[in-house]
Amino acid sequence: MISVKSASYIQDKENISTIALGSAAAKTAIDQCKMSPGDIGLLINIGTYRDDNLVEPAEAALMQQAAGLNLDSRREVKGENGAVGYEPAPTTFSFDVLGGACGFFNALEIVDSFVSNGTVSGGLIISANVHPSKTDRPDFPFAPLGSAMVVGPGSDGTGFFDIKGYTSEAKGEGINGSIDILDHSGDGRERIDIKIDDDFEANVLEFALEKGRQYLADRGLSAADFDYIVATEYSADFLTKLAEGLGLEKEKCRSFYGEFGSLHSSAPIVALSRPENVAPGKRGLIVGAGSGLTCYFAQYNS
Amino acid sequence: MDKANKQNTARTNGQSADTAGSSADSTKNQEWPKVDPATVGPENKVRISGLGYYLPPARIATSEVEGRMATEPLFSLEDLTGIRERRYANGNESGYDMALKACQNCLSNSGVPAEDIDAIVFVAISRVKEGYRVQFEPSLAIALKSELGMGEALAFDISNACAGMTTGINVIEQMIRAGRIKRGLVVSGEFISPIAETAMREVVRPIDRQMASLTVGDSATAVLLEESPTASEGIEYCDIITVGEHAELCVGMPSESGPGVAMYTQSSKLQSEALKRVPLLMEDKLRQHGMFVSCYDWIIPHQTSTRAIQKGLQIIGKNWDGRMPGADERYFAKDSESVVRIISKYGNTSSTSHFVALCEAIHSGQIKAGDRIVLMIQASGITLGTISVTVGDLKVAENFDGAVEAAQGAETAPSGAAGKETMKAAAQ
Repeated sequence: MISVKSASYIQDKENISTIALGSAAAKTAIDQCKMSPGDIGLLINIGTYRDDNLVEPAEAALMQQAAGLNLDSRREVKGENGAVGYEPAPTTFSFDVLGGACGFFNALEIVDSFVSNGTVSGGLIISANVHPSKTDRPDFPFAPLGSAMVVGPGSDGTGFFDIKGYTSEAKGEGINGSIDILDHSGDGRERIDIKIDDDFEANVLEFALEKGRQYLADRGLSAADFDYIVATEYSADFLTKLAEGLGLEKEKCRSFYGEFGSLHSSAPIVALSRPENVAPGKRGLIVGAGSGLTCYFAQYNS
Repeated sequence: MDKANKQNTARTNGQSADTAGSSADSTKNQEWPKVDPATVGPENKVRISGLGYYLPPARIATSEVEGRMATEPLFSLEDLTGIRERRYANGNESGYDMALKACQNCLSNSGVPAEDIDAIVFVAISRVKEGYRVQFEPSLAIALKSELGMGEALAFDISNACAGMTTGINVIEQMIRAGRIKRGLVVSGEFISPIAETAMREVVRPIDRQMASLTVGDSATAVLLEESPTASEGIEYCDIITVGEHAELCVGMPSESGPGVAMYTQSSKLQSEALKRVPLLMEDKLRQHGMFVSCYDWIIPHQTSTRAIQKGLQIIGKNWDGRMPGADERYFAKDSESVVRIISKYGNTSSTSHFVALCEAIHSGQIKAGDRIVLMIQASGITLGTISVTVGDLKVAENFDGAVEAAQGAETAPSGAAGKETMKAAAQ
């Protein structure tokens, strides 16, 4: 089981860039955690919408570079005779996971696997989504924001557990974000087509409710087991409808829609960056819902 | 990445720092531990239980690429790269279409029903599901999962440039070892030729950052992984790291000069920075596992160009000379028969290259059950690393035209025991 060691987010209207926002949030998270940077062996970027519609390298590598995290695999040393040599340095393996708004849960499962096998001591999950033009476009449906979370082994029963995902194509993709690489005239780095089905929100809510009830029932859980619920949100009342449909009181909702709009893949990181949600003894239900259609559920013990 | 990495003695390009500058002879003929294949790596190994691939039928000769360039190159691309031809999908089928065929080929070859697979990861750079449309969400893995009938399998995409397949394999291997899943499929359908089309239009100088784009070819590969029933078969280790200091040396994004997607590469610097680090990285991992290069029957490098492959191997061999049993002409000489090369036929197929090579080598009977292979990873990022794997009795039916051939009649491989004897002999 892995737990949150630190989490951070940043908005900067003057510097809208996944690399800049993601790495800035990462630096703060690394500074705030009690883990040595050398122990952060994995860096997973889960952002979907990226600077310039970049497809190579992984944005995670560019974020690693900008954050200055374990940049080189070797460091210079001098031998007893004064000769210069090299020794292995702490390293990080960086890559992107594209799981839409649910990428956080995929990254959690990956880091948890690497940590439980003893392959790495900890991981850094970064989420940043911006319009590829790196400008504050009103037609971009998600909050241009960078967030980062350092995770490592949990203790005394703290951490994420029972992560479970579901997908269904029965009611379409819901959201499709893409660009035709031939259908532009040199402005392909500034365009993105994000098509959201008219009935997406209703469909994804219905899907999350159906699977959420199944998730709770399969584990013998009830609303009383949770102190709070957070989720990917698509409107001001999305979380309330989801929580009430699952039997949780409105007071247990930790909504960020009014503050940011839709946080897409950053929602769980922003939610768990708030001290009140990770206070000792708290138990949260973390829900992801997005294109695919996909929904994920996880529990977090603080 | 592993803690043990941090504990090793400093070396100059692999040589101990405290002896740096002295003759390599001082460590020549040192005794290396004997290697029992079953004791290398974790006890709960993950094995490759299925392989599949697909190559589109259109063969594009390098001379045709040169002929289509807006500005005629000053040199022969074939002489420079060693690439005779490559395959282009030509927009007739997408990366997704090719990936689906590779998955079907893999499932047919392995005999594993789709519903028995717990996870699918799509790992291509190009991410094209329809036409020329690069899709960022939803993940293409979800559509593949649905089309293949994988039930409630976990599905997501990974993007890590030419290290996509190896990254996906590392991730699935770790998830299986952690007990999260029992079986996972890693697939890439790489419709990468649009970067070549852009380069043909836009390259106007003899030295241009888009020159490397002219080497690519389209393809798809799929690898099925599962718990190994024996410690003597499977992945001994995956060691992949990112040298973020040089992350900007190769970038792919839409062209600014017109329609199309382009890749801009500082090829020489990318190669030189990678090769400054690879010998130490590889040696360190080998030492950690009590292994040495002669434990390997085959080296499969990332297929970039004949020259780049050879130069890389020569530099590693030179760095290791006198200290590493097997760091000799068997592996590092020009045209070494222990190095699998497919570059002349298919070009650089980006994320799939190691596995197109592996599929071809198994299909042809070159690689057999019990053979131990090291995959050498080099990708933009800079992503570097190795995967060490001993393969079992795999069958790969050719799948050029999308019609999956029955695996029946595939050459019968020698027993794993025979292969292991070969390895032991090599290790002595």
